[in-house]
Amino acid sequence: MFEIKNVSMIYDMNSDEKLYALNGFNLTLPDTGLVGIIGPSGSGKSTLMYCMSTLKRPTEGSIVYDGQELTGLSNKQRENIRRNEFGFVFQKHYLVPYMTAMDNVTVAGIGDRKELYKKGAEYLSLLGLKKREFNKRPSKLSGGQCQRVAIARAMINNPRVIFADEPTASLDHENAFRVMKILKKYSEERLVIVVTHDRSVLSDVDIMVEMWDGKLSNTYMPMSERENYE
Amino acid sequence: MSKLNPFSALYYMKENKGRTALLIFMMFLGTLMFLAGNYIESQFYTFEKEFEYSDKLVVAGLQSTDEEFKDFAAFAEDVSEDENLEFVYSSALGFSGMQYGSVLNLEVGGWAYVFNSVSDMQKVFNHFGIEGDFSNCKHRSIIISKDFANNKGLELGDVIDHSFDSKLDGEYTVDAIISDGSFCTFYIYEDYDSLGRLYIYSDTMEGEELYDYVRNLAGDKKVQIFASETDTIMPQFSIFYVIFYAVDILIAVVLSVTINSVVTGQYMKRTYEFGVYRALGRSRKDIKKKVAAEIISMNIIACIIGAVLIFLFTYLINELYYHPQGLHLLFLSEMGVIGFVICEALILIPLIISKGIKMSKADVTEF
Repeated sequence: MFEIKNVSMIYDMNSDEKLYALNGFNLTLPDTGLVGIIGPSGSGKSTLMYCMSTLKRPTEGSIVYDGQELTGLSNKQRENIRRNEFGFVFQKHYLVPYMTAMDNVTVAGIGDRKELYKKGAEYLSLLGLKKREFNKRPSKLSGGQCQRVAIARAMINNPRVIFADEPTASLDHENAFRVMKILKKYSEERLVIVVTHDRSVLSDVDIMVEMWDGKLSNTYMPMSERENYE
Repeated sequence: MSKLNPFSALYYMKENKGRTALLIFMMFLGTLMFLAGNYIESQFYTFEKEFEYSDKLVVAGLQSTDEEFKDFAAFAEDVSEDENLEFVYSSALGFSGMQYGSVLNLEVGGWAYVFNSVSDMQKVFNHFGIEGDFSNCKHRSIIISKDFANNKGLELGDVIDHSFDSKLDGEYTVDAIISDGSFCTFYIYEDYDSLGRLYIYSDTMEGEELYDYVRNLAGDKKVQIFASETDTIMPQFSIFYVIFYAVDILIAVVLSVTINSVVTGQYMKRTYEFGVYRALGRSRKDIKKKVAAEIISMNIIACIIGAVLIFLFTYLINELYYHPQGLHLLFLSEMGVIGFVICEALILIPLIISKGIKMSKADVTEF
């Protein structure tokens, strides 16, 4: 699905001391599965995610998604890919405060609005929200519920890839676990990339990517290691 | 299911009534330039009939250099023989039109017509299309319109003395009130000693065509062909236009800055909302269209409210204040429309462009 080759993101290009958020990064990811990207603060995890999701253009290198080179695409083409292929879950849910939970989900949708509302209702129910909560605004929902609405929004178009940037950072343990379980389920047929600094939420990932100082420090499959151990 | 698309402008306005109401109120202030333009142009309303009559009748008079009145007499002969023209004689004494209070509370003097006899007056009135009861009219009669009479507080039979105009000797009586809506003063003054003016009119010509015809007929003769009211008065009014449009632009700039700062504050709070839309794949064009739709929708509502309130205000003030004075505040005017359009353009265009660009650049990665 993704082939990342020698990608660098350099800030302060004209200064003598360039800042490398990413430094010659290489990675290949499959079509499906739950991928955890972990590293300390400032290691470049979010920058990597932004580059992969076309929210930012890397300074150097190439990112190939499904055979298509992303770095050379026009803004319109990048917008199309984000709209049709990608979904996003942010650290703070970033729900629109004046929209109901249902409207927050469907505002991201493409297609017939009746169908979108049906799908939205399906996902919200799957994510544990009750019907009476569909018409509530984010201020009337808990943090965990808001994050689940954000996940439903990310899933509404059945994207091939979901990018989740610190999706459990503002959640308690129980809700964090619940959210990761949902993402894991989704990753059975799609690719879900979770960026976090908290290793404890990545216990079920299929691929672990460790970063340090803008570089790939390690990548492995925790499940296969566990199988080997067992 | 919400009936409105959550991405639409109407959805935003419905769910954010307080903010929307504030902006609509501020945009409503811009529509007041329409009322201001109507107010200014209403000043010219009282001259409408004067201009119409001036287009239909050319005044020709003695020139002071024509010492023996030879040229004037020859010109009068030419006019009488010309089958395209009609005329009546009038006194060379230049009576003034009575002054009246205008919409802008300015004292304005109207045009005066002086007829040597009732029959001369009726000939010209027929040409102007003025009807009325002139049975009481005689030497030293004044004929004015109902609107003019209301404005001056005059009634049939009222006496006006020469203190109003030093050229008037003795007293004049309001002997007929007509309904032509003009603010002209029509005198009947029998003056067979100094008939030094001609009122020239035609059944087949008026306006520039009539004036050019009469000037050509006069040729080099020492005869003064008075310029039309339109040519005399309108240039004096140009200062009103200049001042109004200058003030309009100034007010528009002030409103634009004020509204822009309020709108900026509101949109800054929504930067992350638009950043999320961008992350979800909404194009910059979609974002700009959404911003434009929100601002324009609010403005349309403000304009509708403004139109209704201005109409009601104009109706009431006409009924209660202006009509009893024979005056009229216009419901619609060219100046009002142009003033409104300029103001709206100066408010909306920078707002839509600046906010559209700003929000289309919202970047969720920078939150």
